[in-house]
Amino acid sequence: MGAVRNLAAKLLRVSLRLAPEASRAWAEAMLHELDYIDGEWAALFWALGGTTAIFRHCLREWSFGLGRVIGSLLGIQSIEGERKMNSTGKKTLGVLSGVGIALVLGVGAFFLSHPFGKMLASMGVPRTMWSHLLTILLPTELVLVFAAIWLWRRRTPMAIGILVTCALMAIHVAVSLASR
Amino acid sequence: MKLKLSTQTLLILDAFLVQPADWKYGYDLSRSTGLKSGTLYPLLMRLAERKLLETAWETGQPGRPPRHMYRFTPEGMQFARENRRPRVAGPVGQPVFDEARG
Repeated sequence: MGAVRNLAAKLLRVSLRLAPEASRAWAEAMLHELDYIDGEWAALFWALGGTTAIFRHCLREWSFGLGRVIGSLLGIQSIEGERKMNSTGKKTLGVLSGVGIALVLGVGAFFLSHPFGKMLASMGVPRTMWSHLLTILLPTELVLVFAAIWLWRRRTPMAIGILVTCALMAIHVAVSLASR
Repeated sequence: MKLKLSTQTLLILDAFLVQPADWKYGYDLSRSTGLKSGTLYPLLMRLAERKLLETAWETGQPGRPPRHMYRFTPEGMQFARENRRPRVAGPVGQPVFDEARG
């Protein structure tokens, strides 16, 4: 099994582990389908799509659960079956999905830091705190920014979610550097 | 809740209407409809939630994991036949502009 397919399988296994009971069979279905997909990259894109689908399904379930809890606390009777969300709800869900995608992509990009660090070392860049930070931050931020640009026209709320995560990560690094 | 009949949903309904008694796999559906897994599976989940699709696990081939399979329930079949995309083609052998001429 190649490295890319391995990464795809790992991604879906993590989704399967984190998925609630209602989505578990679907996560497992997508994981098992991986073995029938020709091509390493096709398998990775399958896994990325599958992870997004599971994450969105989980968010939907949680938001309905939360809505029911809030409804019962406020004494509002929810109509079972009426699961329509307004546009604000959909946008919020989109932004939250974007945050989730950013975290998944961030973890994926983190694996790139090792080859990127080796590349810098081979170019003669000395191993300092700054070069170490660069090897971690640059691939992650680049992947996130490209993902946000790609999604901007198709799913703007999702792209906003990714950019928000990206900005939060940058602020976190800046604050931790400033506090040293 | 009413199912939103997006282009993607109609594509899936059409794919299931091809030999509707046969079980279909996720990856095969993705290839035949051109939908990515991130679009396909949420739609399959919704169809299954509304009892329009039934799902089952296939006994795997030796050394390979079992696959999740899908096919229409009787309600799903009826729903698809009522809502599938109207075909553009008219009756075979009829000149296209006959109706326009009156």
